[in-house]
Amino acid sequence: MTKKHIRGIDDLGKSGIEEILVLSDHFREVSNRRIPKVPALRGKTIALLFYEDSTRTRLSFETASKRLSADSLNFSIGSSSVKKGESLRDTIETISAMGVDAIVVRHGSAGVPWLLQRWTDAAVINAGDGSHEHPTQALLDCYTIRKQLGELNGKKISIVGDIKHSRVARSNVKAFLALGASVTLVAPKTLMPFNSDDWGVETTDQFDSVIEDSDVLYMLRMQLERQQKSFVPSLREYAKEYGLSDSRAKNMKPESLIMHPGPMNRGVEVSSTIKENPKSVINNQVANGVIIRMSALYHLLGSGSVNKLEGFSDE
Amino acid sequence: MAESERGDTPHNRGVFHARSEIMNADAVRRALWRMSHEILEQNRGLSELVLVGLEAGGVHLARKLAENLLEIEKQNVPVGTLDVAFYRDDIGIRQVAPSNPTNMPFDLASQIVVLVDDVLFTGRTIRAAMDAIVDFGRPAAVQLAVMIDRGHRELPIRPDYVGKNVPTRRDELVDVTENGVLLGVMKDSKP
Amino acid sequence: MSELLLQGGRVIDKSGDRFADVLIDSEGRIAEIGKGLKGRETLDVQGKIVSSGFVDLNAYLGGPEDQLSETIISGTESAVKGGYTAVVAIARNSVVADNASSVKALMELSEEASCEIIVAGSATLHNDAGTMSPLGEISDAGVKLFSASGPPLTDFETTRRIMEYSQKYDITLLYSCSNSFLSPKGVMNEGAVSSQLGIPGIPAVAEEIEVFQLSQLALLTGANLHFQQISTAKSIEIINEAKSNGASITCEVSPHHISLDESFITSFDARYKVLPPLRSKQEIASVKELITSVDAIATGHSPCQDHLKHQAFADAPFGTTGLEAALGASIMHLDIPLKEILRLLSWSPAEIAGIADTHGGDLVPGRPANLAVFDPEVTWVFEGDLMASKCSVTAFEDIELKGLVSHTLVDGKLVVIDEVVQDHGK
Repeated sequence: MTKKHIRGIDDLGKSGIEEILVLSDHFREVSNRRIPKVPALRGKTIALLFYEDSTRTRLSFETASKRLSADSLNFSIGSSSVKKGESLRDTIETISAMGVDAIVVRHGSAGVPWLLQRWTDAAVINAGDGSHEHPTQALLDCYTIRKQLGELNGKKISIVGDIKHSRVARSNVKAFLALGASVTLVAPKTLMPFNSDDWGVETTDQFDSVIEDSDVLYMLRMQLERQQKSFVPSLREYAKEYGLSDSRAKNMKPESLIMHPGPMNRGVEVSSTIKENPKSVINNQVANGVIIRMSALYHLLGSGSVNKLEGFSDE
Repeated sequence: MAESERGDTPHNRGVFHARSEIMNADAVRRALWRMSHEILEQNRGLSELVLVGLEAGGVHLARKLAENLLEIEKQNVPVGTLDVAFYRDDIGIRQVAPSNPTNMPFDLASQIVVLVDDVLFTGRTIRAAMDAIVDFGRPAAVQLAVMIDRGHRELPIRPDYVGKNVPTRRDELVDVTENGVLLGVMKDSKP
Repeated sequence: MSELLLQGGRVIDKSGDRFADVLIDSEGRIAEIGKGLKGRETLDVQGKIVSSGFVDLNAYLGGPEDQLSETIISGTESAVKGGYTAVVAIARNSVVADNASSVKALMELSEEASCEIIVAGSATLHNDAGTMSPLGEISDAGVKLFSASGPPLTDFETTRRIMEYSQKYDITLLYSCSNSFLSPKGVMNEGAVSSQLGIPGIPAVAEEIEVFQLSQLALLTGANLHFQQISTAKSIEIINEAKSNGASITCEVSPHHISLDESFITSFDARYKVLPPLRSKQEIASVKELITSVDAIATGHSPCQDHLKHQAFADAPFGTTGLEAALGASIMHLDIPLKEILRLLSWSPAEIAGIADTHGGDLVPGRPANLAVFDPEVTWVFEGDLMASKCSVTAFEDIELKGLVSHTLVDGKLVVIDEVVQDHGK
């Protein structure tokens, strides 16, 4: 079997995304069992290499590994395993020499998963590389939307906030477009990527212009430091122009969704009570994280294409 | 067809060419009727008995057996469906993909579980099924009902209820549907 | 040393292009150029070009404080392999070039080199970039070129004064226009690719603003300036305009900026991380159209320890090697006559470096034989592992080039024979 990776959404393409979404229904059932565990990846070792602190995502991957009966090894910046100053290449080669089957990596610099893949035989999963991609987040977002609204094909999704610095936005744009949704990016010019003309999306700096039409409003976290560097004059102004207040939420289509990758800045990009809004599926997103990561790991180390039995024609 | 035959093997790529009909629709129906009686007789009734159909070929057979048992004994037998993909021993050796999510909405503790599959071949699917079953509770007993036993066992597994014994060559395939049972081979798909 | 005859080649220099033999005397000087000559030793160069050796205005050859990235020996071996007979050594750390005795020490080290080394001084002090170094004293030691990018761009006054003061001495101030004040975290060209990759970018306009600012000061003060590593067409246009108004300025473009575009960075391979950054395909096309108004091709040769380039793109150092790829990249990518390419590689930079008496120029009897012999037609693929440079990670890896140096002569001595650097045992 050829080695696969999930470094970015392009590694999967539409068919890969579909496979993972279908697998996720299976792993959702497994996760709801009394014993939420299957032996599918027994004997496999999964290294978690987190150069950026992220307890939530790391635990999500750890849980996913355990539910598949795989072993996980934690090499994270908090632990002494990642030696400060040890070159990236040396670290990867050391980990690979221990015989791991997959490496889940999160790093502050774009491109690290592509480098890793050159220096190891293990499968590589990107858990976030700088501002570039965060494919498993996009996958769980697609799954969450599909479970609520059905197929993404033809749906209108608006992504709102600091697009420029968002790896979630970049992966989501690719995934949503691959599944046939149409995407609008909403941000002040300072937070819009410099050149997004060839991304296949609409752009606007007027949040109110997309609220009534969107099937999904995907709110991005506004980093508080952006105010200091003059990306926005103040958080108050940002919240006024781009925040999903309760009154804006009232104008949303019936049957539409409010999403957020977390963690939220209540009162900035979303109102304090947004999670209680019936349109919010933010809790579902979190719950779907583990099952999507189970699917991602299984996709790389277990299966391949979803079983399509070839037609049996009498001849 | 046997679960272990599915997946990305040269065996399974291509188009199924039927060579002969082993059982027609009536024969299948009669076999199911007989097997239902056998299950009843063996277990002296239906108390604490559940049927578990293995995805994908055993599911409709399990449902048919339940229908029959309802008609015979006027009693509902719970039917669960089980996808054993994640318990298979060839994950990582070949592409293994599940068919439909498992649906086992009951505890199996102290139950008699009758596994139902269409074809018994190497026995590996049933081994995987037994591993899965114990994750749902400790059954009182596990029995096996299959429509076709085609030989070539690789593990010490034997069926309790069989529709028909059919000797086959290793490279042949058995296809069980509502309309009957066909024996044939896979040929390369048309370009 | 006996007489050496280069027989049957096509001799191209500043004022001519003819098939001729070149005879070199026992003192390492050109004895005669003509047809049917005879010498004691003969080297058959039929089908090849014989030209004055190349002169690089911008290379880092290591330093007393850094012998791991490159040394004088490895760096000049790399240079002669690429056809260079003289290299301007730029210091990364101004502590080695901001006073006369340091500069003299560097010159002594250069005696081990395979080719001539021109030591560049620093126009400001290492511990105070706002203060001029003793330009007169350093220039008396024989230095003509001074790196002047010490003061920040916002220190208008200091930059102006250095330019004014410099004119007392026959020196040229070297400016690299990559202070990137518009985007301090930028590591690649700002554009469609950087947006896609989520990597902070350096806009082209940052370089253009610096070039404009400095060229206007040059016009104001009359100083001699040379702009290093220019990468945009607009920068060249600004320089041309200032030249036409009488500014004494020159500029260089690197071989990698005319052959590699920003799309290489989608691999995230830090070998492509250079300053100024690789630009867009359109930008490169525009630069190539203006190439004949550029004064030199200079490699900006910037080796580092290999493992440093095996890091995340944002964390790796900037720079690529280039001495051995310069000719091949220029012939491959510039659609101009060979003589123009040689102008950019040889006699024009020789003039800027102030060594036109011994390098570049016209090949006439009496001149030292600093020559490059190359096949202009052969296409080949660059391999970093085979480089003479200590650094084997290069932006030119796997790149197809056209034109390959087979022999290089420094002061009449064959330092490269059949592409192999000779052990010169100095």
